[in-house]
Amino acid sequence: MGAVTPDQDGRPLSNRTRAGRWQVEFPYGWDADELVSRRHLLRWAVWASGALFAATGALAGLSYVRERSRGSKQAIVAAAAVPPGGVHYFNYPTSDDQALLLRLAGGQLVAYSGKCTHLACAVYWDAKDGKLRCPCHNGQFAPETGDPIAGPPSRPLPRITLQEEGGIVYALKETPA
Amino acid sequence: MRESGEEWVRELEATGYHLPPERRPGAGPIALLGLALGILLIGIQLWLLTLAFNLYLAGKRSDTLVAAIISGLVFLGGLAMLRVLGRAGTSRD
Repeated sequence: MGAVTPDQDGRPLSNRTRAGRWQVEFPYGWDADELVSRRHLLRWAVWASGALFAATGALAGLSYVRERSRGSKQAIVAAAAVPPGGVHYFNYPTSDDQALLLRLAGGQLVAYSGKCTHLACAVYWDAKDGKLRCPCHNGQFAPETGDPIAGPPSRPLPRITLQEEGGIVYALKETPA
Repeated sequence: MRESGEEWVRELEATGYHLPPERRPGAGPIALLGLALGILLIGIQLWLLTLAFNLYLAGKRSDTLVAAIISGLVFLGGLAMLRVLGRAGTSRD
């Protein structure tokens, strides 16, 4: 976009009439001057936007299609072995997944995955503070809900559904949040 | 002798050189504004994607869907903007 130059009569010259003698001697195509125009870049940006939408939509679709619960019924420990405010560490749903069972001060049993939702460090029960704590980045979770209350984790700990039967506590399945 | 003007245009076009078509005044800045808006909205969509991934991992289906719908609206807005700008200027902008 150059300055508008007037012609001999003082009228501004348009793009077409601004052509000079040098262009006759060096007739390079104007469209080769700019390999990527703003309009082309905008078109690519819109397609990139479409790709981002597709990825977000795929995640939304996947969340409806894919069942995210894991695990099957598994005995954990005798209910009487976990006193109020106490903890029992176990592995669920596989032998590689650490989990923890807590008996809250009110007597209710809750269980969560022991894997921090930030960077998967092992979460432990800090009985002194009454919080679930991740030592890697000092993430903290509420024992009642598993919700993050401090530090970098933004998602709650996956919850493990429990069943008490004949004095034994069973884990039924692990579900995110 | 005129250094520029229709005379040169005729001579130039005889060489096979294609002159840029006429464009409306202000079409260039409008395209630039559209591009700036597009880049800003892509930033928002990137944030929405990370948010949707976080919500997916947290098992919050409906919230993930809301993020996808907002991202879709942004994309449709981009398409509409491209269409409007297509009418407003030439491919030079």
